[in-house]
Amino acid sequence: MTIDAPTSPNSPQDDRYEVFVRTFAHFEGDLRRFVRSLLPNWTDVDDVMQQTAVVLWRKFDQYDPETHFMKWACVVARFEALAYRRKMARDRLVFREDVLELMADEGIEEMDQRDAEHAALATCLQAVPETQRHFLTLAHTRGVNVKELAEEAGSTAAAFYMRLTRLRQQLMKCVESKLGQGHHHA
Amino acid sequence: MSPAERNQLIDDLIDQDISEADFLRLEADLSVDPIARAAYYERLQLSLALAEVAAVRPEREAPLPASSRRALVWLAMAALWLAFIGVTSVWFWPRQRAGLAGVESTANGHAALVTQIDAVWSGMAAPLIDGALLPPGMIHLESGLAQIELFSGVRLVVEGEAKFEILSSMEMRLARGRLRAHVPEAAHGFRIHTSEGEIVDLGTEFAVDAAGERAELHVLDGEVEWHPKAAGMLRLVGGEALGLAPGNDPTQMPADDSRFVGLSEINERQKATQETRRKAWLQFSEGLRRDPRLIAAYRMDVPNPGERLVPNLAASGMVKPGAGAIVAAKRVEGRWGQTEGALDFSPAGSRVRVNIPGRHSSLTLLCWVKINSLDRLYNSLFLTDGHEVGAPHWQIMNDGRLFFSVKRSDGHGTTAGGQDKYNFYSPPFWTPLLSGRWILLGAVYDVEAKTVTHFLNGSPLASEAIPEEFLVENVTIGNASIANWSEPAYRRDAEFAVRNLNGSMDEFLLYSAALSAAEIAEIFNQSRP
Repeated sequence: MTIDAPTSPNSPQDDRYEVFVRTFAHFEGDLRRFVRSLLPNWTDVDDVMQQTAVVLWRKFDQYDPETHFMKWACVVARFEALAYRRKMARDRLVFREDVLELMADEGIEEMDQRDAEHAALATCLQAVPETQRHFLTLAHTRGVNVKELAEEAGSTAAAFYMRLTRLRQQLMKCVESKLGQGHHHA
Repeated sequence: MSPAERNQLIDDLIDQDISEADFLRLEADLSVDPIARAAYYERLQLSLALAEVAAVRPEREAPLPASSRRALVWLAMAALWLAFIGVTSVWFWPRQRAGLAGVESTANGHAALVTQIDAVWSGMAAPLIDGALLPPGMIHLESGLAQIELFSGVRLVVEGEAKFEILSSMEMRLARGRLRAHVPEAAHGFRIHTSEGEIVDLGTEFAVDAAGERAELHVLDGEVEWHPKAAGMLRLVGGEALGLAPGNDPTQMPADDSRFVGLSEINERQKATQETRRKAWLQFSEGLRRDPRLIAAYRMDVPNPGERLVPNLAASGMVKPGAGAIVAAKRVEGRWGQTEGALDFSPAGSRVRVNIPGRHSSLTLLCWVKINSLDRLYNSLFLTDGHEVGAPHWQIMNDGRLFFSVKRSDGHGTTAGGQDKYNFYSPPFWTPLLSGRWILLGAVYDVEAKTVTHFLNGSPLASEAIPEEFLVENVTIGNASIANWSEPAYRRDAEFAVRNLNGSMDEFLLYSAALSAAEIAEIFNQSRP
């Protein structure tokens, strides 16, 4: 990660702020994936991420640098997601509190495993032939509706889904085999 | 709930296209079954990773919170995040604009056209170029030869006039014409449907002549089954042939290898054609060299054993830049298939260093490149060091757009809005089918007409007017790099931006003038391999 630091002399407070921002930026993607696994709606994820960022900064004094920042952040995010969940009426898709807790706890427990999965997935995706990757990424672009896409391409939605499912399954298999190899030295 | 059903519901939920009833069912499953939760997480992760790649813009564009107390912190972080996301997305891989056409060609292709000799196709929506996927439906080769490779590994030589259809990588229909098929082990069982019956190959080589009234099947090597429509199956081995007249019993005869064009013959003929074209081009380029507007003709195909230099063959230019110095790039096959005829710029740090003296106004830049992929954020073609006032930059964005700019000012507000330059982009021209193929790219900076025009293979891609405040009439180049960017000299920081072109180049032309579209089309036609 290379983010240029300003060279002007900083107060201790500024330094602390900078350390926080750098650390947070580093784990933002992972944390966002974690929160997304608890809340099926992007708007909710954005809100909880913002609130989590604010709380993490406020409590940064209490953070013990000996422990893993990501774990600490996940515990905070779990709490924020639950609080958010409680405030919200169940008028859109949100998990029940007990389900949300289960998912959060498992997510925190299996964090290392999930990091490994994410890395394996990145590798596997790169191995997918370019045209198929185009297809996959197109189908996963936010705001792109697979049914409309199928219609535009003159194909049936069912055929599109089948192809998508096949490609997804290939990727899953690839991830599993990659993780299988890695287990020897894990 | 079956795993398949559950996965479907999970995907629906991820796509946020799920009914409330289904959501409740899925939630109940998730609350009791750890396997269901693992499946949910896995599928979500896959979808997120793909969305990350697909995102044209970062997703972090949620409205800012109303509370101004936290907004400050948030804003600062948001800026950093965006910067960070910019960095990580480069690590991931280039985001390409996926066009629907690309999707369709994958869905439809079973075979690629490898080479063609004097081939005339009719009824094609787009000209068939070497390396193209064959479109679905009946294909009409009016005359000439085509070498086709099916994805199963079957290699065909088709002689015109022929009408045929590739049904799958293991199956085709031949309505008319002659072909020779070489079937590797992996493709045993390859079938050809004809009007008289069906040919099933058991390996390895056979030919069909359906050019005249009477069709013939020749087994050149291995074994083939003939399934006539009316009668029982016949099995033929190498050396045997059948004459098939409608309404009559097949007649036996010896196979005749010499009647069908083979792979080695097509290769030889292709090499001969290429060599003829190369000689014609060499002659044409002799004329180009003497054009007084041409100031640099860096020819990577000129052999200079031991010297890591690229000569400048321009003979009559107003200024005479010296040879370019090769850095890290490797010598590879050129666009005429000759060994050591081009430079491969994919090794890290690769470039050709040049110095172009003088002041210029209009410019034309042309280069023949073979790009593997656009996997850098900026893929360099020709960039001056740093980016000084009056200096041009020419490169390809990772989304497939050509980029050209000349820096107007040093950024101290001499232009409207404080911009120091105006970037001229072409629409995205890159498709995966262009990968590994020689193409001619061009940019014309025309100070008189006040336009910038991008060219691909001799045709204009886009032309844009230069806004008055960004017009630079005195273009200076000085030290520059072909296929890479050199940061300002004397910079001691060893870290450098990765901008080298992932591909090869065998010719780079620089004119101190704006060439017309007709001239560029002529250069393309005379110099295409």
